[in-house]
Amino acid sequence: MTIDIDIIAETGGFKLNARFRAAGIINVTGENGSGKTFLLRCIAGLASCQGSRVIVNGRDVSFYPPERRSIVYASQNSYFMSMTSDRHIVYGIDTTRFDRSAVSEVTEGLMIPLGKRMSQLSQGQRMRVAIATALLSGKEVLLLDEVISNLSDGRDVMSFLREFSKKNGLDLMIVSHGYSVPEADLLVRMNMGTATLEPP
Amino acid sequence: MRGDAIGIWSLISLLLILLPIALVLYFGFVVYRSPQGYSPAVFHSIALTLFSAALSALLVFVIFTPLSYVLSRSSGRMAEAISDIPASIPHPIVGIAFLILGSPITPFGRFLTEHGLGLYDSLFGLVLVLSFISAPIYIRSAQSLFTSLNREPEQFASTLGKGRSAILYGLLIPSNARGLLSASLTSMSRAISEFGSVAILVFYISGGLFSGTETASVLIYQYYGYYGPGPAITASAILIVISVAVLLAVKFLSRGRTITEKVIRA
Repeated sequence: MTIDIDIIAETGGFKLNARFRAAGIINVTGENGSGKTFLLRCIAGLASCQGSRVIVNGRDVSFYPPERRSIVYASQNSYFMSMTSDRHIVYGIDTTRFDRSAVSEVTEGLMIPLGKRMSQLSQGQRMRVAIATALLSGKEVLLLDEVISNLSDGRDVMSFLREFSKKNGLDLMIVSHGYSVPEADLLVRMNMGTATLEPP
Repeated sequence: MRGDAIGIWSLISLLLILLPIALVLYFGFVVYRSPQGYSPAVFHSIALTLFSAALSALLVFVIFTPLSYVLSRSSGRMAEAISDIPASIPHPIVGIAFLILGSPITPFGRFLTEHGLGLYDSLFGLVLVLSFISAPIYIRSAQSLFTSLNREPEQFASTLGKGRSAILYGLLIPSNARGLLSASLTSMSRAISEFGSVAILVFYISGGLFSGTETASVLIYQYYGYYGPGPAITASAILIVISVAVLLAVKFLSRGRTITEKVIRA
């Protein structure tokens, strides 16, 4: 499974230039304002990046709306307050790929408290629910924007994500600020909007 | 309200709104106290007014919530201008427009007539014209509500594969029910107060549930013309009290739910 990125975009005078091909776990890092979030939002189709190309497993999704790209984007507010955690994790589930046992595996792996309203959960617990929801959606690429860094046991969650992504052919792009993700297969460093590749 | 210049000025502006209402209540219940103002015809009329306004608010919610959402997510200035039209033309013109729309000279009017759904002097026509009149207020309120929301949950749902309909009906409406109810109540209030278009299209209901009944605004206008200010002002005072009571009751119920949720969260 691979993702090919060729993005040249501009917003409010800020220029983004990213070109790479990657697979597995990709760690996107860089200083504040270096373009990490803009890059991910371009890939997900949430930001206007005309003339850019995003190819997921050989399928060009550049002109698809976000709901048809098979790319999930989760940030620190990517959860639905009106739901319970049980309802949340199966919102958008791909039932052709994941059954009850898969739901249990994800629930246990991410230590999600079931039967709770989202409003009753802490921010870290909400992030776990968001990650579980994204994993069970069966999309091909998962973009996590500063999500892991807010978890007290981020290392354990990363281990689970690595295992789950390998098993299910999922590519992960993880934005981290000021630190590297040891599990990453590739490090993308953003500097003033330009992406450079480095070994992890 | 704080006691600085802005606070005092705000208090004065509130009093400017309250003064005419207080005068109607005082003259209706204390000075005139007209028995005709308490007649069954007045209460039937108020019942029709509240019923038709509630139905129109429901209809407006069903029909115009998607448009409010779309307007909040795009820069459709032409669409916004069109949605404001009912608020910017004299309402008797709206009544005349609906008369033409419901008459057999238009295909729509012929269709309605063939199916026994005339607009003239009918409850159906009343609800439709009230919906038309009150739609802009609902659209603007709901649009502001949707605009103020954090987009990240919505964008997350979008990347999970959900289209706009699924996001609107599955996420945004359930999680913003109170705000949309408030917008609907504002729209209902506007419908309760409508006179111009109703006086043209539905001077009274002919046949069916409220046969022979006028809306409160039309009835008060009639009373004022036929019997002078006494019965009209007493009936007006009753309408004000009942309408405000209904609206406050609904707002109180929705606030009660908020308190319950706060308890659950705690």
